[in-house]
Amino acid sequence: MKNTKGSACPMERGEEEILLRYCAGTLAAEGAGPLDEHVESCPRCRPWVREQRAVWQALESWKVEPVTAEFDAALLARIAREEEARPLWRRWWDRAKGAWGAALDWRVAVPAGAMALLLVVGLTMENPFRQEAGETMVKLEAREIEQAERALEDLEMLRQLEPPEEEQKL
Amino acid sequence: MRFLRRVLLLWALGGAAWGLWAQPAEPARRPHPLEKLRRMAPEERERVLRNMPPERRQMMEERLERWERMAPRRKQHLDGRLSNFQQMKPEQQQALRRLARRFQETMPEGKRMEGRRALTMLQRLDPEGRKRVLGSARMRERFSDEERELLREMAENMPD
Repeated sequence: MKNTKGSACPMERGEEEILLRYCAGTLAAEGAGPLDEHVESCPRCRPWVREQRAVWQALESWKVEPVTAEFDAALLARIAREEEARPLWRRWWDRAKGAWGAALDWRVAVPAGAMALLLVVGLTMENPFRQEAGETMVKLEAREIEQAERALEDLEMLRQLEPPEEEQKL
Repeated sequence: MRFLRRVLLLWALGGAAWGLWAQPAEPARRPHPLEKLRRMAPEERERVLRNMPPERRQMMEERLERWERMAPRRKQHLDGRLSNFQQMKPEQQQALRRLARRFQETMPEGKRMEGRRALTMLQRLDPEGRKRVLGSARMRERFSDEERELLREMAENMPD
């Protein structure tokens, strides 16, 4: 097994970071001097450093394209188009979420919605259990009509069993 | 845990609101269907009765009109008797209906008015008084044994 500990090659020692700093020019002069000689003679370090320097050179020579005057307008128009393409409910939801923040957390929204629904139902539905005082009942079921009919028959029977004098008296 | 407490609190509030809403305004007396029918406007009554067989409907309408034409005191008197009748046991009510039908069917027409007068008088008597009156020569002269027995039974079963 080859002993790499005493080797002068940073690649063999697994210290590529030294080479990176060497390429970037951030290595101290006392470290950089001996490394110059090693890199020139090392078949592993030389190509690695060459490639690294090519990358640095490419980065240094890269110039950012200037932004045109229409860029901002085009970007905003594109954002607007994408916004328009989203469903209405989603836009409202996001706006409300932005405005109300944590209040629209589902853990708050679900019970609050259930409560609101209960109130709406309570306020709009006719209460089937409540009978207002003095309210005239105008609905009669078939069974009730029969009861009324029977009561009228009984009333007629009672009337017919009384003599006409009773009628005169009252 | 906080979420659960919040949900339970909201449901408790909802339940309380429901309880208040569903509470009856007051323990209202349910009017008898006949009373409802009498309170109805003619067009409402027409709508309610229009699905009935024509003969029954006509009979009901005639009876309602007859009652409406009565004097207020007469209405009150008859409604009072009807109310007493309705408080009788169903079998007593049924017995009186049978007796009234028998009265109409078996009592000769010429005797019916006198029978009604006799019935009114007998109702006001106690059982002993009824027995005495029904056994009197005058009653024996006017009514047969069956007719007097019918009058006795009816007087016993009539409501106040």
